[in-house]
Amino acid sequence: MTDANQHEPLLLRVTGLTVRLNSSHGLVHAVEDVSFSLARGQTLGIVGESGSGKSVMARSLMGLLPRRSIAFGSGSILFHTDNAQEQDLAQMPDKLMRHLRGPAMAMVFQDPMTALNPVLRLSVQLTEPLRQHLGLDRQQARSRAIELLAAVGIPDAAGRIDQYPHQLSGGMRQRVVIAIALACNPALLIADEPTTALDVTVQKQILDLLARLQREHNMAMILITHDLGVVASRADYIAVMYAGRIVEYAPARTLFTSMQHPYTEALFKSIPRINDPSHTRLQAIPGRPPQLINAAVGCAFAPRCQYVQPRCRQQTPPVVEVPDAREHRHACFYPISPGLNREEGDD
Amino acid sequence: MRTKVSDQSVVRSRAQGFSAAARQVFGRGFGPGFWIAAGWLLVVALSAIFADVLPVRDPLDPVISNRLNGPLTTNILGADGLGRDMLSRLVHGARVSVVIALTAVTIGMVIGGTLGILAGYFRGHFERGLMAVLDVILAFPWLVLLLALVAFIGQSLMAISVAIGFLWIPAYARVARANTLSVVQREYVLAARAMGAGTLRILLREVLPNVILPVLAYGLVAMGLVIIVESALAFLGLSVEAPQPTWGGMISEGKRHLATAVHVALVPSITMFLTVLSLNYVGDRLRSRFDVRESNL
Repeated sequence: MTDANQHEPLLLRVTGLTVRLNSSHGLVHAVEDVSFSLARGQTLGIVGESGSGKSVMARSLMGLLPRRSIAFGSGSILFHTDNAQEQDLAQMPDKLMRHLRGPAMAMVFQDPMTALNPVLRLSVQLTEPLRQHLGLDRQQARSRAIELLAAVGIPDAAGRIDQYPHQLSGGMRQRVVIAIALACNPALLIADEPTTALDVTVQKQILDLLARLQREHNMAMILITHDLGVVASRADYIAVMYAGRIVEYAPARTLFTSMQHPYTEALFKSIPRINDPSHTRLQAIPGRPPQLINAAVGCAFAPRCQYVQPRCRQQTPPVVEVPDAREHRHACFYPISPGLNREEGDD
Repeated sequence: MRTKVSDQSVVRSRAQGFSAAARQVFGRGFGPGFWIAAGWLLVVALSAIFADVLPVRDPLDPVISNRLNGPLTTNILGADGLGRDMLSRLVHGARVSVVIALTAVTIGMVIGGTLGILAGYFRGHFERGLMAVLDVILAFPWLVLLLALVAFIGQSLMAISVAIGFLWIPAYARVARANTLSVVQREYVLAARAMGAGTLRILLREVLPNVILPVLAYGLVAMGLVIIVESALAFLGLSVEAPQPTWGGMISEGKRHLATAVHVALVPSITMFLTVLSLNYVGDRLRSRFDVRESNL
């Protein structure tokens, strides 16, 4: 499991993370047995459809899930703080966890329209964490906040800082959200679909901005998205999530050259390609993602899988490593490996 | 030169920013009705503040020869049964009404608002318990409760204000709770938590500023009702003690002269009617912009 990287020190190691939530319809198996690790300065892309448990997983890493909604939680979230100590965030009381949020880990949210408080000036929202975590006084915090705004590419930062969120465009607001997240120089940034609510042209700017800031601060990043294309060139590792499980995990390059899980393949094929002739039909994945209420038997993707076999409906496939491929794991009985004949796969 | 131009453009953009913000908050104007109502409220408020220095007669000075004189005779708005100047008594009575309205609503707003925000934020047993208590208070006949309170704490201006303010706690708690429930689900609250904000910080920085607008807007409607409640008490002779003029007290006095001099009861009644109508009108217009109905949650 300590496979993230040999060169950079390990920052985060999640093992067997399972989160089940109470809902009015029953128990939601939001995150099931998720394991991954991440080194400083690296990017992990988490890809999956809506409702695949990406956001719940991100929030559970930050300890942001409301306590009363958690029905069951297990697994460990080992986080290496600056003094190289290893702490299990899953066991940490909220009082201590609070001091990590901001300086150690921060989060960028999906919709910049709602992630900023509409009735507070940007200056207030930016300086709050600075004063709380770094102990800056009003003046110091303000000048630091202006620096932050300038760093995320907001022109006339000194003039903008006293504005309200509604006076900014969507792209600008997301820049502000990023500036707030970076205020205390976190070691880990979780970006939960940071570009989903933005125009396509702005999306690239925001992703480039995140990449630049990540380099400058040697920050690890978990980039959550439903778009495989977004993480393709920006992530070091990619985890594909389906129904709360990581169904495939690999270094980005490996994933695209030899994807093993049928779901990854289906996601990949559903990206429209610029070189396709006009009117090429997009290969959508048939059916809908499963409801995560109550445990299902068998592979969760089986109902939509074009290679489904009887066994897939009876047993849940365990996570296995691909032979000869380091750090490449998948959860499929019949992986799409080159040379293996699918028809013979069933025994 | 350059700096001057840019300074001007900054000033202009500030001004535009302000008017844009004002439009965002107040929409495309409220129409003439709103401003007439607001103007009347301003007149009442100014009368209350400057009652002592306004060029009106002594409200307590009985001039027997003016007894029950109608409006536009010896006195602009006529005189009451003891020959006291009605205009002067209205102006001084406005002070009682305004003070009681402001104090009572403030008490209800602060206590009820705080309880409501806490209930909406913490939920659980605290919320259920509080709501049960508030429902009991709401279900109690308010006049009976008020009579008991006044009998208990006395008839001074402050006592009346506190008693009426107490009645407003449940309503405010409900408004504040409903708004809090919707605010805490917003992503910016989660974002604040993700930056390590504690409970107190979230309550003061994220929840309170978003809840306070609808609560304040509700305040004007509440003040209208407080004025009516106060006059009902005065009518029963349980408000601030005579000879201090109050609008309710004036109406109460006027009922003795209804057959001979209608204006004694009519003038304060119309004044009160206009004031409460204005409060409701202005308050409703403001509230419709800020209130979050429970059904929208």
